[in-house]
Amino acid sequence: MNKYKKITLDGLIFQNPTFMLVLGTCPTLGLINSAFSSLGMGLTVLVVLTLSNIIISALRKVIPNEVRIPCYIVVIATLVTFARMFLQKFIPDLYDSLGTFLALIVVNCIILGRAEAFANKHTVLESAVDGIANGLGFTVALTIMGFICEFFGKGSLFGYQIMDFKIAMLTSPAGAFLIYGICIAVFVYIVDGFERARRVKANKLARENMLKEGV
Amino acid sequence: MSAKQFFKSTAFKCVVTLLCVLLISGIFLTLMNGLLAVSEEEKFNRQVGKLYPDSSQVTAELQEVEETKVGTSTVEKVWFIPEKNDYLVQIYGSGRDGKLTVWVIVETKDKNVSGVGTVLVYDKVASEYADKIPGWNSNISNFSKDYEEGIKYAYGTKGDDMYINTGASVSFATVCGCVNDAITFIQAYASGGSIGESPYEDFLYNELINQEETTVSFADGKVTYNIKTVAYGGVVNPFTIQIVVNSEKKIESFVIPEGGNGSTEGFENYMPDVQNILKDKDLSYFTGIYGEDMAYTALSSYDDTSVTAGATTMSVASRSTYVCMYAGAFATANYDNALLKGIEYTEILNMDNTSWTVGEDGKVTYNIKTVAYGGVVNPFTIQIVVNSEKKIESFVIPEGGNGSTYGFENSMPDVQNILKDKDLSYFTGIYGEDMSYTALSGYDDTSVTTGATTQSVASRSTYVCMYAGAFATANYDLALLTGGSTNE
Amino acid sequence: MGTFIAIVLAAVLTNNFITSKTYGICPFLGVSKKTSSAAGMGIAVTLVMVIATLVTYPIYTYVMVPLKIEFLEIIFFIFIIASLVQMLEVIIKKISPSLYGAMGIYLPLITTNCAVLGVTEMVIGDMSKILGEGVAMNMGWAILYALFAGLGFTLVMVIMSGMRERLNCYKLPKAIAGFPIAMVTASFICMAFTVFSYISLG
Repeated sequence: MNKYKKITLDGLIFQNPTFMLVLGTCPTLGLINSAFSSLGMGLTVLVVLTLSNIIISALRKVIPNEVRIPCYIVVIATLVTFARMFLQKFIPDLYDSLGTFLALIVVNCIILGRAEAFANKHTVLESAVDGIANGLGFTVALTIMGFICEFFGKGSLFGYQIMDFKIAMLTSPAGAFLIYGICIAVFVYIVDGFERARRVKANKLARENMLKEGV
Repeated sequence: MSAKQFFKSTAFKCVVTLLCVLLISGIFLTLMNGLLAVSEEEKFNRQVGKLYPDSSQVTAELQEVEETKVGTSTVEKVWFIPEKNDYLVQIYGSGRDGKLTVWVIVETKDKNVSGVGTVLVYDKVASEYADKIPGWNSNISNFSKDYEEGIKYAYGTKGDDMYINTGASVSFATVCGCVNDAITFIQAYASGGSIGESPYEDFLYNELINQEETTVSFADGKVTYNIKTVAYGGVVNPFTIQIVVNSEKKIESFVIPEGGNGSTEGFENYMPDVQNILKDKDLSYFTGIYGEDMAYTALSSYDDTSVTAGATTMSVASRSTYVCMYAGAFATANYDNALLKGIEYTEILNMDNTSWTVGEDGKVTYNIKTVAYGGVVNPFTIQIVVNSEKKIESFVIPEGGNGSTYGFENSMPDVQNILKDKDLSYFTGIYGEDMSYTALSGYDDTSVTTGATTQSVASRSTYVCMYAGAFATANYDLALLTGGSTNE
Repeated sequence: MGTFIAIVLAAVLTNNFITSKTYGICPFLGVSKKTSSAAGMGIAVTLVMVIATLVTYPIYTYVMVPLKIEFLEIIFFIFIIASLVQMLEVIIKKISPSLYGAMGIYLPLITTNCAVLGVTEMVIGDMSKILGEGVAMNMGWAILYALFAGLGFTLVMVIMSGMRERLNCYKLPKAIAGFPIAMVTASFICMAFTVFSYISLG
């Protein structure tokens, strides 16, 4: 049980693909000025990542080492194509707002990175959990930034106009980079602080144990 | 290495695995494509849906409409959108840069046009409506806002604040024309009718003429044209010109009244000269020269020294000159057609089957066929002879010409008698079916039974006969001039 | 001629892949610490973009569209790009080891670069905003666009690396050093490039 908790926390917080590892930056920056597309992109990546992890983990003993990268790429490309067909048919609004970034999911470093680093060494269940965790981490990160940029940049949320105060710069790539940078700094600071506190507590506990055992 | 070794080697395994993965992916995706592919129709419906501010789900049903010329534009395709009760019209006109296609949403209510929705420039070159339509230019929102019944959108109604973004170098006048014509078309189409012929459809030289606003009248052997032209060449606004053509088919007067000058600059200098040039010219003056050459040829051949050579070179003025020339050509070329247009009392007459001949003694013999009338009267055949005093000499309903459904036979002889020796004054001032009541009640021959005035079927038939009589006397002059016609 | 200029301006300035379309950010952030590596990466990306467009555009237009298998484009394209990069690496290693030393190491990274797949996807789509009205897309314009998009990418990479090298001289708090300050720098470069959006032709 602990194993899965570790995987989840890693994917979600400590190894968050967007804020800690800074992977998959292209769709992040490209879609940041709409909360709807950010959320949509995050969820699509979540689904593709999880499925890809499951499939690759299931086939890890079958695929020879030499051709593993091409095979992974074909699997991911198939999943992305399927996702594109699905969205175009059933959620055309999302399909239109994602635009070319939908096809670019196939070269998203996160998916290939997790496949290479995790899925081909772990069981199917573990890979699935890892996929969901990383996907969620990506989605949450993207959505938060999308919220900020859309709300302050356009005064709307998910397309509904809320206020008239706008900072137009936030809708451009310049603002996107800025917000991304600030979010990374804040997130890393918080997580580091959290880790430090945890480490201090662990050290204190270890010292107390040592004292108890009598030095 | 041996075969067995080969089959066990990594290279082989790699290739096989890769091929398998590719194959499975390919099959999976082909299956998915079959299931999930979005058809062209659905894509099109989505595009049409985007024309509405709330991007609603619509189905656009293609209507069976052939390419129809309406006004100065041509309707290409029409779709009906049942969810909104609107029509989407794909219509094109010729703008400055060639063919300009416009999509117009015409809103209807109870089979009548009730408004205009989104208008956009579809493409300047014909294209298919695939996924990616280039050049949406949807700044044309004012068409929708300004709609009122009977509106004719035109350049200048909003001054410089035009309906579209001219940065796209689109001919604004053409878009207005397309919207107007789309409205006209749908008005006829939605109520189940077919688009009527433009009033001057078969007139020569009619491309630059605004057919709806041009009027033609006929009096004393002369045809007076009150012409309105369409905007031309992106720089010339509509002109108003009054031309009178006499019975020798020559231009007797050519006047551009106050405010009729549609030129955008500089034409006022040449206007008097142009008007003079055209006096006394007939069609031969215009034939053989085409397009804007008309302006150059006309001005250069005028040997009155008051025409300055500058008139031939200044491009704006030559377009305006061209428009005036064109109007002159229109006027002279269509003298006969205009005459026929000047025929009065044609409403319940079947003009296609009505003809007349002119005899030596100045008598015009009409062979009239009417249309079915009032739901109870079938077509009548009537022969009327009008003499040179413009009086009805004889009024005969031949065997089988009685279109009445019942009861008219009793009054028929009386009706025929009544009309002998009557001229146009007998019919003027009384309208519609009053004709028959007045006519019959004014007849003091006691052989007219009072039953004839009250029996409604017979009075409709009587009315038809009266109407034919009015037609015959009113058009005597015109009939003489045309020298006979067989509208077969 | 007008289309030529329109494409060059669009690819390098107004529609720059990094500052305007945010493609190719991963190498932008990862490899731009030193100018030499930035330039090397930029050139490598440009080369791959041109060759990839050269191969994928005709295959898409003349093979896939008539056969109605456009839905397989992602697989085809990525496969072609991956194979091309592999072949390119082998060729460069053989022909010029020094060149390989300068930029060959980046080649495997380029396979997963949004910029390459991005440009191949763009040229098969709706380019009318860039080409202007009435100009049809063909292979020549596609190659041209890919070339100048790559050069624009390289340009921004080099600018960024210059700024980052200067930043290395300063001691920054841990929370800001590294990615955050790089992002802010990138933000300023983007702001500078928006000046070019005021250029309009016609």
